[in-house]
Amino acid sequence: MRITNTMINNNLLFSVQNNLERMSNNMKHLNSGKMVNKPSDNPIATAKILRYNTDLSEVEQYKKNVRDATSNLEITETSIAEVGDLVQRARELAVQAANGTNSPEDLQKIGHELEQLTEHLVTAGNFNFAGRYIFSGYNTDQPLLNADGSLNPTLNVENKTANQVDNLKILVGTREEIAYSAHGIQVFGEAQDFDIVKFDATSGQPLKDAGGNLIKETKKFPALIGQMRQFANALRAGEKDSPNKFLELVDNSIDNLLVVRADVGARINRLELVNQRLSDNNMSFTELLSKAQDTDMAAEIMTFKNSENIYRAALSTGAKVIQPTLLDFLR
Amino acid sequence: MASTFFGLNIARSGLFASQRALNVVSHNVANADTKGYSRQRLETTQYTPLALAGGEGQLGTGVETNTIHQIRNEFLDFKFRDENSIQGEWEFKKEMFSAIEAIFNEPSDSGIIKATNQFFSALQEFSKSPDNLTTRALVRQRAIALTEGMSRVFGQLKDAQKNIDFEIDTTVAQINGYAKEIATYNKLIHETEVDGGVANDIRDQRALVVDKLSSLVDVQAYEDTVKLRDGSFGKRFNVTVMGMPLVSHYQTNTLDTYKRRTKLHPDDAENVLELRWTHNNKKIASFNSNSGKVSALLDMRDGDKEVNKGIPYYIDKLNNYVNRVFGELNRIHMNGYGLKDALGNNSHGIMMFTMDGKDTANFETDLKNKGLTTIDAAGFSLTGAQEMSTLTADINTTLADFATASITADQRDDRIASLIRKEIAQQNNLLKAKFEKYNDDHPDQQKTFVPKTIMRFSDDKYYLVDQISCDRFKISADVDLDLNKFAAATDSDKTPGDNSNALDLVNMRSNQAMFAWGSPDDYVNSLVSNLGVDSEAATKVVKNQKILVNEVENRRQSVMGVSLDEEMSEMIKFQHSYSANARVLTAMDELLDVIVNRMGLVGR
Repeated sequence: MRITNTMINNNLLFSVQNNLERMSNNMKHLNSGKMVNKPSDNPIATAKILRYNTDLSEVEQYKKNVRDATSNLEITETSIAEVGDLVQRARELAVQAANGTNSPEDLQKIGHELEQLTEHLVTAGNFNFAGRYIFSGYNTDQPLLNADGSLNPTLNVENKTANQVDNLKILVGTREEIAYSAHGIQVFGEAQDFDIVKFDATSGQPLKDAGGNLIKETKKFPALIGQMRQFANALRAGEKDSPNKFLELVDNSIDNLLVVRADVGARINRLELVNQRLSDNNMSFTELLSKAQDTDMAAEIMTFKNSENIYRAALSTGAKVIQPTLLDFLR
Repeated sequence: MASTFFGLNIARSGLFASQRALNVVSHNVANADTKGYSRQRLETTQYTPLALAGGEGQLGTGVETNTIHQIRNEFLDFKFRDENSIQGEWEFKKEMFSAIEAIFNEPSDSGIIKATNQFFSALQEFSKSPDNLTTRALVRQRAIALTEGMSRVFGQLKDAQKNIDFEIDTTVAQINGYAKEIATYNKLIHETEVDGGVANDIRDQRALVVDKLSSLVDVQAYEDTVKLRDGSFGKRFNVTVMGMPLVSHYQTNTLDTYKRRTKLHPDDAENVLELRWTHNNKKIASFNSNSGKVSALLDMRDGDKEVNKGIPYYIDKLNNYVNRVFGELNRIHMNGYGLKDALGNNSHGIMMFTMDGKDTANFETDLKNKGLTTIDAAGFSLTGAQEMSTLTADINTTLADFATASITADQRDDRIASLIRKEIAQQNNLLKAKFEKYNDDHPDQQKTFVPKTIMRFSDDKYYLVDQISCDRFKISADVDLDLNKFAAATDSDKTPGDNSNALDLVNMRSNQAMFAWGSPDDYVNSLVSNLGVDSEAATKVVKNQKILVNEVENRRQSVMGVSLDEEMSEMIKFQHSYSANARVLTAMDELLDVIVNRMGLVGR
């Protein structure tokens, strides 16, 4: 083939241009630290990167969810523990009251203490965390209990069993929901009618009808609170058989509390496991993302050096080939 | 016996020939770097020899200069233009794909995928505290950001389309300019060559213009010989584009633009340009070109098919995504209940996204009244949206199955999504058949069928409707004005804590049956990586084409290029030749000197 000056020029320019392009790519990878800056750099890696980014953002969100759910469940557990202590104390008082040696005054005092415990129980049942009533299920803006401990009718749970009430749910994985609250009906027992002795508001004496019988009103209470309220009022009114009746009933409630507490504890445990898994996911997704996206600096610098050498070679041979012509040797 | 001065004459012809050859060398050297220049050579032959009597043979009479001709290979010119045309086409496509990549801006922290991620994160926060106005405000903000992100991409794609259209105008002007230039050269060359000579330098310039033209359109250039009016034969140069003459000797046809009246695609820019061939302002044919920049411009502006992906294709994909995803979010959202207001009422059946941010009621009325364009024997008409009663019934069966707990929520979502997809495909087949029939019946007014992709849920029924351009989707006035209307609850009595509807909204994201490409995330991922594949392919074609063009150009330069070394050696050759001729002349001169001054002096 006949070689002409234009050809040499063209070829030199072409290869120098190619080398510069390669070096500019190397530089882009090194400067941004990323191998993929636009989809066409590597469409397959791009699909992966987009997927991992979405996965990572979801995992981050799930971790946040787990954190919130855990703290909610921990608060719930503490509250249930507190309720357990109160009921335990009430049981001790009931045993004490069942002892036949108590004077009516003693029983009165025990009744008053029980009254206080009941009030405390109502406060615990209406515990409000970050503006939400934790035992009210979906009705987070409504307290579970009225001031006297009876069930708040707006909750609409008078006829629901422990399995029918709703608990707040949270996502901790794709379509993986976990309940992160315990409903009052589950903690304090299903709603029942309780006959409560009425007291005169001013004198503090129990109200009696014409026949001298205690006046009682029937209200819906969650089992445990109803039992406490009924017992406290009965004791104050001097009903002798009330401690035994209470002891019969309260053991069931204590068992129930333990079950609910164990369930909450188990859910906290499960969340810990989920959290562990999410952290693992986070790590592996980050690693996969980095593999797909990040520049291997050492390798890239090697290829950059390589490109640079080729570039230098192209320039120096170009310069040598272009320079001499026959002209240099003509007188 | 030859004349005394015979030898002088031979030497003189040699001197002149060498001198002329040196001039040609000089011209070559001077134009060594001129673009499109092909080297020239002086052709010489011997003068008619003098026959010597008596069988002594012939006596040479010197050298004669014939023509200065150019060394050029026309086949390589054709080859170059073919490849150059393809390069011109893909250079632009590559540029355009890069632009579309930049518009989608993925992977990045500011693309629509990020906005989608953030929107769903907000929905999750919303599901955690549906009773909290802060999380509701967050959902609103992120939803606005999402719609804005979509409209930004959509708007930039439309702008890109408009810019292409503008570029079509300038490119057409360029083509017409080149055509005029070629015609002018034709005239000049023809006039110069009337006396039988060859207009080397003007021919080079003309070839260069054709080279430039070849990157714009798919050109064929050829020269034919015709009988002229005076009976002699002359050469005529023609340039055609896909068989349509652009330049024919002194004449040119004009590539003309006119405004397209009916949009090929619903989201096309207004009044985009169509091309046609005109002569003296009269239309003679419609335009098409297989390669070259113009064909790339047209492809990128109008391409809406898998095989020919242009801006409308991506707009279509984006619209499809937004319509389906927002439609599905709306459907779920309408199942839910918002927070109770002061009177204890809570909203239900509210859409999250509507066209132009209307409120749900207005949007639904619009949907039902405006409906979609359909086609029947009479032509195109705008009818009310078509209710898909079978689909509605099928979906209700699925919902009933879910209610009796015989299927899971996942199965329900998958089943509804695939029912909708199937129905859309069926309806499209029906519509397409109608369009084809219409096009067969009306060959003069062809209509392009744009598949319907949207099933809209309204009034507990499903309607097949036209797609809504994704820039028109805004957050609905209902939720925009009243945060309480974001529906987290599926039970009106269980507000504010019931978050099951919010969870359904979040779960929609992992609905694998939503698109043929999978879940909404998969859809965008596939779209972006497919764009990457196309852009990468275009880059590769350009790279290969560059190598090819460079190769052909080198082969061309190998033939027509000036080699300075060669010219120098030629120069020395002719320089020596000149000196030698001069020396012969001197010898002859000495002979004459002998004859004139010294002959016959014996005895003087």
